Amino acid sequence: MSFREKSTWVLLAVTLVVYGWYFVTTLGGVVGADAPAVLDNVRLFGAIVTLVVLTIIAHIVIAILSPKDADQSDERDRFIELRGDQRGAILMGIALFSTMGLAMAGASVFWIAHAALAGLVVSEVVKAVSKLIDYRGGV
Amino acid sequence: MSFYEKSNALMLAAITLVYGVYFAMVLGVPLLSGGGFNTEIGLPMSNGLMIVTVIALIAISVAGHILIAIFNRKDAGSQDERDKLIEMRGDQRGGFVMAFGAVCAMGLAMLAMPHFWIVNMILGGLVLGEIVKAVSKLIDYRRGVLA
Repeated sequence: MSFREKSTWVLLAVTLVVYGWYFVTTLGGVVGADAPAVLDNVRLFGAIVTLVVLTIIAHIVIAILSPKDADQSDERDRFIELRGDQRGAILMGIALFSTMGLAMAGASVFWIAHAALAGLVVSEVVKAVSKLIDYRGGV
Repeated sequence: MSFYEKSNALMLAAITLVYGVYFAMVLGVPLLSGGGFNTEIGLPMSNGLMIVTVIALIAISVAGHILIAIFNRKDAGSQDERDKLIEMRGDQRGGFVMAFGAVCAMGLAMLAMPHFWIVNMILGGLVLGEIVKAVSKLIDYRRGVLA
């Protein structure tokens, strides 16, 4: 497994765990009730900071365990990355467009912010899954 | 010039023109009115104008592609390896810009800013992403790509 592939696994796992937890705990209490007028910005920031810290720690661990290929990428890695980023970008576009629709319709900022965040998260997940499939299946 | 290169140049020109006019009208008004701008009235106005720009863009795009296809019947719609690589690179770069736009929009929503600004921030991100994408492709077509 190359450094890039391990890095992608880590990013996918951390994204799913941190944002899975964030969305379940934040939206869980809101379903069926009125959405809050504003966001709990501290919680949202907390989730983002947790994600960044966990990702950095995991990358340091990966690099220590296999220092030789740390931060190396070859032609194949670059092509797989390009394909994954392209697929993620298409999703990002759709999600951002939908978020704009919500905002145009005057939805509460609570939903607008979470739609934007969900778009970012889903596009990251699609990117990572695309890369993992390409690494296993070849391109 | 391949079909895709012409198509790309057409879309870049159309987007720059249509959204240049849109933002000049939508952002020009609040700037000229010097802080006394009412975003409650601004939102339905910019919503209406935005729907017009989307229709205008689709019309220009359809008409332009028909013209390009008529003049280059041979290679219309055909895409080779190079076109694909150039497209991927452009989409990747445009995607980064869009993601940045999404983060900024999320920030505005977290600060509970008026919807008018959130909508136009998101639109700005989408438009800028498309422009970056098209410029990246334009440069790659002229300069060539490794692969």
